[in-house]
This record gives sequence, C-alpha cells and structure tokens, in this order.
Amino acid sequence: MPVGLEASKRAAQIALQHRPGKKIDPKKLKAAWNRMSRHPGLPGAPGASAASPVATAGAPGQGSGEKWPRDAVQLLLDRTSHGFHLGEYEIAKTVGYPIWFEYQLAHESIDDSPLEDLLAEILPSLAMSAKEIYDAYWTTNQLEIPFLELKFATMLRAAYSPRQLYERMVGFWSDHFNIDHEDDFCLLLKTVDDREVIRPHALGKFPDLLRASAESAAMNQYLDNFANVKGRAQENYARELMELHSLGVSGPYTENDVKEVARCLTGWTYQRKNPFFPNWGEFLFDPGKHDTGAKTVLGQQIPAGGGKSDGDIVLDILANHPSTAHFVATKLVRHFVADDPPQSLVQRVAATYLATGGDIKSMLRDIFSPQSPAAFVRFAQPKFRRPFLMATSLLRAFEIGLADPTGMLYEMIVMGQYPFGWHAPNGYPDVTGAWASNLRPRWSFASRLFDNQSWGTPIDRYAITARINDTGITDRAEAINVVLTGGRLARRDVNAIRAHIQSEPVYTWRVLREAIALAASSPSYQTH
Amino acid sequence: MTDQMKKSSGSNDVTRRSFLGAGGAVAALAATPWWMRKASASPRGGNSRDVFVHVFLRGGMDGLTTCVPYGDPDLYLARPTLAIPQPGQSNGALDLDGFFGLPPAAAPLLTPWANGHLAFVHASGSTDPTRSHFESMRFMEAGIPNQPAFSIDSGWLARHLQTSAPLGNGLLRAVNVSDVLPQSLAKAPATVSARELSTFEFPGNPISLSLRRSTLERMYSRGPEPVRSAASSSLATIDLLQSVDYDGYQPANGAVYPEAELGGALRQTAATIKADLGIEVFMMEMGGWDLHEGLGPIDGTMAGLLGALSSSLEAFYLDMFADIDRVTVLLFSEFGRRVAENGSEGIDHGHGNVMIAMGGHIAGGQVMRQWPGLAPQNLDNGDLAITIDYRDIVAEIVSQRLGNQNLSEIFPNYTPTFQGITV
Repeated sequence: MPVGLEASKRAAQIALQHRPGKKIDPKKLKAAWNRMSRHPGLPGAPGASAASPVATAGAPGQGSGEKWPRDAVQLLLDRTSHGFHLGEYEIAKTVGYPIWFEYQLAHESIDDSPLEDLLAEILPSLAMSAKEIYDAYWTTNQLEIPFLELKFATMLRAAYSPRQLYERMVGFWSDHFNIDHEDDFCLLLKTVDDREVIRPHALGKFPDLLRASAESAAMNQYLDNFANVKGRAQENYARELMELHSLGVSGPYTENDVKEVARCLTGWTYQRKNPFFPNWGEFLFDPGKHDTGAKTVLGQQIPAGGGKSDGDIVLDILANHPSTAHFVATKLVRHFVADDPPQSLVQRVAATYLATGGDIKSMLRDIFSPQSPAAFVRFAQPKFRRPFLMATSLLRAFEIGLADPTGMLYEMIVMGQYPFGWHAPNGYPDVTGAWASNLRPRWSFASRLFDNQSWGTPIDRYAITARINDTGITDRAEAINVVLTGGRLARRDVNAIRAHIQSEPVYTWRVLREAIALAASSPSYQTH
Repeated sequence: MTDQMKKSSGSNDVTRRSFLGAGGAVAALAATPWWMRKASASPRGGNSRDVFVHVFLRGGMDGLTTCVPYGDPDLYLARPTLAIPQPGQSNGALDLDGFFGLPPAAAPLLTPWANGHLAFVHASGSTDPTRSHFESMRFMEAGIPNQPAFSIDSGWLARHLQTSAPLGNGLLRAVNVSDVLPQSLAKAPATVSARELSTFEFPGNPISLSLRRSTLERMYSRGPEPVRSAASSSLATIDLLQSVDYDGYQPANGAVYPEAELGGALRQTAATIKADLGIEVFMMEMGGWDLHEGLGPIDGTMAGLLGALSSSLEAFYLDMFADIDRVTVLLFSEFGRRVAENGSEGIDHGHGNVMIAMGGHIAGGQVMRQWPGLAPQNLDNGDLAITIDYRDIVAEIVSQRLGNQNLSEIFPNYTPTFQGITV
C-alpha cells in the first residue's frame, strides 16, 4: 500500500475540476452500439445473418403483461454482464442459456470492433507503450490524460461492449491484481498492465496471468519490487504475491517463506531510471541486483546460482499449488455466485483448476453449469450491486450514452467505486456488508441521472419514454420493472412504484423519470 | 517546515490561553479519583458517555517514527539512516518525557499533549503473529487476535453498540465517514457510511420530495437485511443532519483543519458532535502508511502524513475544547513496522506499534509503556514486541468512557487489564 506522489494524488481531483472535455460523439457511440447489440455473429440470434440452427423455444414474453418470471437466463445475464438489457435478454433467451454462455465465453469471436475503433479514435493513449505515454504526457505535465483515458475506456467497455462476460472478468482480475492508479508511475503504467496483463489473460490460464502480472511494470512499481535487491530484500510484493494473488492468506506459507520469496525476486524490476531509454517502463531482470544464494520456498530447495529463474520457479510453485486453486476458486464463486461461497462448488472449481492448469473458462463452466442451469440457480444467492455496476446497469438498461465520461467518473467516485481507485492491494470488497451501509449516494445517483443533472449523460426523454412504451406493457410500474431487470424486482417494490405513479395528480415526464429512479433505488434493485 | 513550525507554535499560544481559562475546572478534576468523577462529572444532562471517535490508520503506521524512543540506543543501530535524531540535533525529536520524542512533523500534537489530553501507548497492538495487513486488520477489527479467523463476523465496535443502550432515539448511532464499511462496524446497528455529511440530503426535485420519500420508505419498510436497516439509518441521517450548517461551520478557538482527508472528516465530525444529535460513534480512516520504500520521516512521505495527522488532531482538539470532557479519540494501526530499515529507505511490516488516545478523560501527557527494548534479543521476530494488548486500552475506554461493561462480548475469550488510560 504505497502512497503516491503528492502531485499524482492530486491528479484525479485536478482532472475532475478541469473536465478535459473528452467528448464522445453520441451518434458514433449509438451507431457502434446498434451494430454490436444485435449480436450479429451469434447463430440463432434474431439479428444474425446466418439461418438459425437453434430452435427458438421459449420466446420472450413480449407484451405478456405481468408474467415475466425469474428464470435462469435472467440470472445468467445479471451475473455475466454489466447490467440487464432487454434486447440482449431476448436474444439470449432465444438461443438459450448454454449457447449464450458459450458464446460469451468465446469472447474473441464476438465482434467488438465498432466500440474498439471508437475508443482508439478518441483515447489514443490506450495503445501507447510506457515510453510513448511518458514522452507524450509526463514530460508535458498532462498526466491526467492517460489516467483518465484508461478509466474512460474501462467504463465504456463495461457499459457497451458485446463481450460482457469478458469485461466482467477483466474487472474481476483488475480487483484481484489490484494496482492503485494514483501511485507514482502507475498513472502511466497501469495502461500497459491493463492492455498486456489483464486483458489478454482474463479468460485464459490463471498461471499465465500470474506470471504476466509478476512482470508488470505497474505491479512492480505499486508493490515496490524495484526496490527489492540483493542483500536488502524488500518483502512487499513477495508477501502480496502469496497472500493476495495466489495462495491466499490461509495458505501454507510462513514469514520465512515471505523472506525467501523476496530473495528469489531480487532484481525483478523495470526500466524506471532513465526516461531516454527506449524501453523505459518495461520489465527487466537486473542480474547485478539478484541474490544468487540458495533458497527454500514452501519446502522446495532452489539451488544457488540461479538468476531470473529463481522467480520463475517461485511462480511455478505458486501457480500449481492446491491452495492457489482453492483461493482462486473461492474468489470466483464469491464473485459470481454468493458472498458465502458454497464449499462443494468451490471444491469442484478448485479441482478443475488443478486438472486444467488453471483454465479460467473451464472454471467458469463449473460455476455457470451450462448443461444444467438449474444447478447455478440453486447455488446463487443475491449479490449486492456495487457502485460501478449500479452505474453501468442504468446506462445499459436505458441505452444512455456517455457523451463526456468525466461526469460518470465523478458519479462513481461519489458512490465509492471507480476504475482502479482502490488504494490497497486487495481490491474493492466483494461482499454485501462492505457496501450496504452506503445507500444514499446511489439513490442520489439514480435521481441525478434521470433528472439530467449528471454531466455527460444526456437523457433523451423521448428515447426513455419509448423504451418503456415499447415493452407493450400498459402498467408503467411493470414496464419499468421489465426494462430494468426483466421483471425481477420484488412485488412490493413494483406495487409501491405503481401507487407512487397513481398518487401524482397528472402523469408527466417528471413522474416517469422519478418513478424509474425510485425503482433503481428500491431494495430489490440493490442486489442482482 | 519553518512555516509549519511557526503555525503550530502559534496554535500552542491559543491553547495555552484556553487552557488557562479552563484551568480551575481541570485542576479540580485532576484532584478527584476517576471512579468518583465518573458519577459527578457527567457532561450534558447526566449523560456520562463520551462520543467516541476512532481513526484506523491503514497500512501499518511506523510507531518508531511517530513516537520516537530516542533514549533507546538500539534504535540508531537498527535505523542508521531513518531514525529521527535525538533532541537537540538537526531535525531532532521534540522531547516528550526524557526517553520518547515526537518527530518535528508531529509537533502539532504537542498542543493536546501539553494540556494533558493526549497520551501515547507504546509497544502496543494486536498480539496475533500475522504480518499481513488484511489478516491483522481482520483480527483487530473483529476483536479476536489469536482466535480462529472466522469465529465471529461482526466488529468489536459493532458489538459495543449492540450491547449498549442508545444514547438518543437509536435511529442513528454510528457514522462511518467513508464509503466502505470497515470490519470494526460490521453488523453494527443504526450505522451509516457517509463521506460527505454536508451533502447528505434527500435527492431530487423539491416538488415531489415528500411523495418520493414516502414511496422509498414504504419499499424499505420491509425487505432484506442489511439493506433495510441501512435505508432507515440513511433516512434518519438525512433528517438529523438537516439542522447542521456544515457550509457555514466556524470551528472554535481558531482551529484550522487541513484540507487532507482526515482534516475534512474530523471537521465534519466536530460540527456534528456539537449539534448534539445523539450519535455515539464516528469512525474514519487514514491510509498511506505502508512505506516499504522511501519512508521520508523528516521531509518525505511519512513526514507529510504525520503533519496531516497531527494538524488534523490539533484542530479537532482546539475546536472541541469546550466539550473535550465528553469526547474520546482513539487511533491505531494494524501493526507497526520492523525495527530495522530495509534497503530501499523504507521499512517492512512489523508488530508492536504506538496507539494515540486523546480526550478530556484520557490520562494524557504520558507515553504509557512497558518498554521491551530494541536490542535484537528483545525483538519479536525482528519487530518491536507487544507488552500492552490493544484490547486493554480499548476495553478500558469502552468501560470507563462509553459506559459499557459487556467486555466479554466485545472481546470474547479475553480478560482485559486496564492500564489507566482514562482518568
């Protein structure tokens, strides 16, 4: 938990005050959304070009009034997306749970290029090397540009990417391998970590992710391993590598293992001294700083004379350790299934980790159980909608565009969760208890958003009204319920919204938008 | 640094005057034994329980810089470059008691110290052997060091609230001045998280406010926990805080809160305490102490953090001076840092640490300790040993200042030994 430079600490505030005005053309975003949201690459989807090989059993209950029962597909979408979207639900329900899940899992075959092209156009730092970012922004004292651009990209991808499960996993691993974006050079380096560590492996093999993170300059900076050198070992990264990234705090390591792992990782650093080197900001192993003595890690001898291989051996030991399998499985199940993870499921996922070499897709198959969706439904307990998800959910449900993401970033900061904003290495908490005492800011967010008081999220009253009317449901409380959740709000909440609308003397746009904000503030919307 | 020193010596003058003004009462109190005073010195309508302000210093604050044992020669052997020099030397410690001193950056703490209202408890902490931030916090905040990690899922401060009668109407008993509820307050009754109290109002258009509010109340009148309780605390907070003018708030005694996070949190806390709303507990946190690299005790990061911490506490002290007899402030961290410095001008995780207590009924002006020494043979795996369990200090405050004797529920399987931190 290092603290950032005073200057970098202030960057977020400065950026917010100045609002650099990273404007997104709403027409372009809408066009990208329209191209992606029909999921044209999904066989059997209504918008797909190929003839459907999939039976369209269980067509969505369009216009069927009150009957939108909670079903497995709704739950699947809630847990594998950044918020329910009615159109996506109709597609998923048409193709069915197993096909939708496998489609989302095969993320590379989902075309997100309309969004990525737009991001590349408006957020140039996303594609830059550390050295390029340094030259372009550090030397010109414009740190807030790469810092904000990465946060913007994260929000935009979460809200609008068709690769929803993939983006959820990116978020999950960003918490697991948390890096404080405001810490020193992490302002620049987190962009590279996101692009080259988290995103390539988010649905890959966990051991690859672990190794990539160990060679991440941003992680190296954040947990000080650059300062871990021969004769003066420094334990920060070594400890969190075992406690938070692999074995877990209950893992079978001792304080002595922490010291030995630190020794193994001496000399693992990055080019941080001389900004004129073309490899500035890239990982490097400095043999002169490496402790070549013999070490013992978790009972395994590492003979003297090793180099970078000492650290590689440590990573292999950790990646293949049953405690790592159990720890990763526990966190995945907690994130996707229940705050209190069912042990039988954890054990199954952990066994799959060990059997597949930490294959993330295989573990997710255990969790979501596409061959037997009822098993997932049976295990699932309500998960609290964390602030980031609260924000993206409302954007998605009503297809609200982000014309200036700075405003949304501000709203997320006020609610207490924004991309890469957690300072400690354990990542944002993932249990209800941590978040539930903080309701008023989200009530306020829902109200501000639909009252068009939030910057950068222009509310189109006609579009929102049309979304409600297009459900074909005349009971507006029920229509709101369907657009927000597919009909999963608690009965008493829907009844209260209905009574609320009826108690207003005349139905107006204000009444509708306030009813939507109230529904988003209701107890049953806070979980998903 | 010079400006900062000037500022704090100026503040000292203010306090000295305030102190002299209140001197008669303070002298009378000092002559009365604490068990009698508890009955007689009840401030505000017979309410003898203090408002409790708890600051968790996250990341492992270095106690050997915050309260320097300059009289222990082993300090300078273990920390040749990072130890605060002895008093009288350049950037030397400000002497407290002939053995301990304050780093120059913490000079503002001398104000409550000189008035006998601030105490340090050294070589203290959680005796659990873990050196992990998160495990140590979990044990400390759950109140169960050396016990199975998941034997209990509530926080010690939450259990204090659970086992004591509310001071006011019970609708709002604790405010967590941040976004995320800490383990200390897990399962606490009538508790709300609010980083900005000044904007804690019901959102939206005033035209429809009462109607929207009644709909929200109706929805949350039933429904799942913990969301339902959180909603009722939030609504109670909205009502209670309406009467407080945060924007126009004028701190007393010329107190100037730093803009740093803790300063803002304490400023809001002072304004809220003065409004007398019956809120019993304020919890907040200050992070950034995990200085494995580049400690900077004189003019670097640690000095900056200590400066912000100290001037925030000094401002709160001055601001609350008229009510200081009904306020207890307690600060601690999950562990101290290793005695020896590492190779990157920082310090790795350690064990024993210093706690800071402040208030009208704190036995201030002392560094309470059973000093174990910093010689290698006296260390606990290279770290400062713990000779005072943090639960002894917390339990005494809970019992003597918060009026709750259910200590075995707050700290299960532990019998605290009161150390005399309260008077």
